[in-house]
Amino acid sequence: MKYEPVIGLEVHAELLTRSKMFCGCAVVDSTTAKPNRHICPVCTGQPGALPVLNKKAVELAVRVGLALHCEIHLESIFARKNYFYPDLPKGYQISQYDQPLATNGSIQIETEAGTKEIRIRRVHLEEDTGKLSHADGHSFIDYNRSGVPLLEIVTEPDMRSPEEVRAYATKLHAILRYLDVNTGNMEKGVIRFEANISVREEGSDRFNTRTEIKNLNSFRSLVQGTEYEIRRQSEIYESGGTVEQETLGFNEATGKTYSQRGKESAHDYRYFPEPDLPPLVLDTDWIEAIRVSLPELPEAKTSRFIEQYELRSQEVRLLTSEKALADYFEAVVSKSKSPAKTVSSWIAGEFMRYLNDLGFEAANIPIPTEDFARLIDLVTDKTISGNSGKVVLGELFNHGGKPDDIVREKNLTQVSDEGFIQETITKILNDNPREVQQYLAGKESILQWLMGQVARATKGKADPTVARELLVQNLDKRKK
Amino acid sequence: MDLHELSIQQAHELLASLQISAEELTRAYLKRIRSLDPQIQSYVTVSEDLALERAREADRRFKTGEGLTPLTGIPYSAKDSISTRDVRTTCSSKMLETYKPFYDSTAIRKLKGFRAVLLGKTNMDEFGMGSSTENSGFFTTRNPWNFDHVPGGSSGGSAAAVAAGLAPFSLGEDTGGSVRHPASFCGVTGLKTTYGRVSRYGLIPLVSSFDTIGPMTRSVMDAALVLEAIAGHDPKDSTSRAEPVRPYSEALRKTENLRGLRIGIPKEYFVEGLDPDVETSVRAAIRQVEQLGADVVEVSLPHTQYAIPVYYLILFAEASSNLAKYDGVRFGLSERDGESLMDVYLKTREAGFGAETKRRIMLGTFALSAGYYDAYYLKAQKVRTLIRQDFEKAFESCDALITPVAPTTAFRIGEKISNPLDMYLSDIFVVAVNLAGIPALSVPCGFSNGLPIGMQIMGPHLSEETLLRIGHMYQSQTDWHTKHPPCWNGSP
Amino acid sequence: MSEETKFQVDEQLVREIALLARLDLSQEETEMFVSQFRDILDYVGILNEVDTDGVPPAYVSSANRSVTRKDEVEASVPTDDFLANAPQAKDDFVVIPRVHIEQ
Ligand SMILES: [Mg+2]
Ligand SMILES: [Zn+2]
Repeated sequence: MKYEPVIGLEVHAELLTRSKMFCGCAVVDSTTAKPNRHICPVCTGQPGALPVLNKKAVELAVRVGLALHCEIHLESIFARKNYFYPDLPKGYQISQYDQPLATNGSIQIETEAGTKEIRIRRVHLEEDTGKLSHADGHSFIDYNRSGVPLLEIVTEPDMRSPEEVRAYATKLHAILRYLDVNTGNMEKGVIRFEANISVREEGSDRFNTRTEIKNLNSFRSLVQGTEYEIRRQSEIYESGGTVEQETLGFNEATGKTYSQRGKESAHDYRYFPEPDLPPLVLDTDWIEAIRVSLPELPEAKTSRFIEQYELRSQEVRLLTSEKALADYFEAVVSKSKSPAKTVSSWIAGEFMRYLNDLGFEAANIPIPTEDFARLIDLVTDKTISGNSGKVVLGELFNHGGKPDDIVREKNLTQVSDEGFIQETITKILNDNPREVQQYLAGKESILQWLMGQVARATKGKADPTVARELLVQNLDKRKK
Repeated sequence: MDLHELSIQQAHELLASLQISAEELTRAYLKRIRSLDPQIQSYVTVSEDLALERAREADRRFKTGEGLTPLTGIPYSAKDSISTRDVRTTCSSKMLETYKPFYDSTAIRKLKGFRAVLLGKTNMDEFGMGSSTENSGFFTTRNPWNFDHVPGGSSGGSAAAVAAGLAPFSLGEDTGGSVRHPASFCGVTGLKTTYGRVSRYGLIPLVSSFDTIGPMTRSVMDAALVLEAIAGHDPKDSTSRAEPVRPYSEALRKTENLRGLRIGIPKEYFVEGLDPDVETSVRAAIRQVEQLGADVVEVSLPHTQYAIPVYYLILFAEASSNLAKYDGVRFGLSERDGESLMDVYLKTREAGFGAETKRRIMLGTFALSAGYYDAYYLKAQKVRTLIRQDFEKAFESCDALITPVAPTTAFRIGEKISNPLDMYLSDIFVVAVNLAGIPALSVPCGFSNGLPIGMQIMGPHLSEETLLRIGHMYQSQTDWHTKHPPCWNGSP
Repeated sequence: MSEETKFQVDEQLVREIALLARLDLSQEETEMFVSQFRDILDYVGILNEVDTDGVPPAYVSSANRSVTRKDEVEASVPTDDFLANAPQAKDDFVVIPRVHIEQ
């Protein structure tokens, strides 16, 4: 029996505001800040304290709603989600329920099967909880994170494989970065995933009992957890068992999901409209102003690059995967005399390798765009050879400097002077009579080997085209 | 004349002319509290040292004459649901018996700015849940007119303190009559303000949709002076009204009669179950208002009989949520003898909440839970719309409505405590006002067997000025509000 | 209540509600609540006399709309002021018995 997973994702993304959602406390890096420093009556749930909505949080939420092609609702209301948990100081979370900010959007994802649309059910605002840590018999609560604005983005159950889940998550991550509403630092927990998973016989269109995996805080855990849960449920059905609806946690160490019984989540949140916050009524002009201020998003950028720079879509995917990288590419192209295609293949090759190996973010590439442009042009106009170009690139990454200086210091200028190259060739042909014979006997491939010898002898400075011509001429002479 | 007999205005004149000092005035009240309050039990906390400190500060102001306000050096008490920095704020609940807020409510902050002197915090039904203060987690406050009777509630401590001369004024809080009901039972003046007119920031909520802070005083003029100090927009309360505060006391001084005002008498408020003495007094008061020049007409508020069930369903729901934060984790009572977190929750809430509080949390949790929401909470909110519309319609033709505050005078301690439903019904004339969010004034208008009777004057949103003018003119023609309980002169 | 919403109030229901509300009821409290639930729900049942078709719920009391604040940071409260009320605290954390999660 073949099983097909049916997967929906809930994403919680912190919004990049200065102050919290309902109070003036600073939003800080809760993984490094001293505990309980950024707190007040409101975000610690002191009796009598009242929330006041941060307008910036609404603006950022609208940005995302628009970018995900959602319907933005001119009137939305906040609701109380009631449950007991020590990281939730009021005994309820202020969220949105039956009248969220935005609904009915979509995201395009790329799979081997081509592009696929994942429908977005809703996008709403809510407040983050505090943070728990555990040691020996106790749990320790820090409320610095309590009240930080969160955006909850919920998909329809449209994903059918862990690959699609990964594609969706990476795409959403890219969009949030493009919109500059979230830092994207997964390791800081600023984006958290919850997956709703059920499996069914392939081809069937019924929805079986689903489980919900909470606290998946990296792409890796997201995919691992999803894979594990699909396997677990499939095996249960294989053995004729039934999957029970429950909330699961994910253990990154074991790569397994585990049941989270005891938490109220399985029960009843008793939502009702938040009486402390009047309805949120948005002005259409304001929404339009936000719409026009939206940056170019991955889709649009990709097609423009293909169009404007005449690139193939695979190479463009890399360039547009991160806004910073796309911007870098365009800056280099604008400063370089070489064709965009050349710049693109430079970035796709050695450049990316260095970037990853040296652990640089696209946001902080150490090489000024004009220097990288200059390097590419030096190769294009044959001042240096491709191999020398790679040497210079390495220098720029490791020690910085200006391409021209490096070329001078390392004396990498390419030589097209036939006299000099002729001497080298004559010497090489005399030193390697056996190979020469093999070539004359018809072993064409030897030519490449000889070219290599020339390159080595001239430290890569010999102009390859000139070298090749001379080499062939010399060899022809020896035929007679 | 003893110092505790001075009205706010009289006290201000003597203070400003340096005939008395704020410290003397404050000491006089503290002394009276020490001697009389053990019988009445209106105070939960008396902050003697802080009070004297503030009084001396006020006296320095009088010496220099700088930044004087009508309330500079005037002592007052506040219901114990109004957060006061460094003075414990208990809501008369064991849950908060030792809780000291680290911030001031906006109303208290404003009174500090006016240099008024906080004497202490007054008793109430736990978290405001009751109409008698019998549900206080600590003790029951006595009605100063008859110690065997309740002072009403939930702001019973505030009403008793003002009636017994243990404070010239008190800040009360009205969720479903909690200012007006005890005001009428104790024979003092109480104003339930328009929802949002006085900031709720720092007011420990019972029902966030209904809660309002209002003055409890010995006269309408005093109420106007206090309201001027505490009313106004507060950026910390998203539901607070931005309209400018009117010069209420000024308006009262200018008022000579009630000509041109149209007063409606809702027929649904004069039905059987209404004590005959109460009806007689209120009807007489209405005639007085008529003689002052107002036109009086009968009106109808057809959905009145549904106000109580609507009010309580919404109260149960919101209260169950507002009381969830009392979990023994961050502040207040915490029972740690169990080993699990669940033990902390269960044992803390078991030990911290009284029976009525638990009952309402249970009913609210039920009314909000899946499957029951539409039938109870949603239904109640729809009927609430109809009740609001009743008022809107009535106010198309009337400037104000006059009714009794309560169907009876103060009942005996223990009379209703065993029957919650019976207790709920004593709020029958006051809760609709909170459902509509409108203001209402309670003024003394007679007695029955030595117990005070109150008249309720309701008006449209932000009509405080009109209500105060009507009440003030009525008090200028009557002396009910100047009558004092026997203990008044039992001065030390 | 109306037919489709006639609810059976029994001890089981009361116990479930009590757990949701984190209230630990004794047996006699549970029994008391069963009867009081019945009385009170009976009483509020008169609301079904009212025809509310097409009537919007009242929800918010405030006449205000879209009340927001600027995204500006204000001074926070000293940690000690906050922890002064905490039943148990250590190293500036609020401390509670360990939250139990099965693995
Ligand atoms: Mg959420
Ligand atoms: Zn805060």
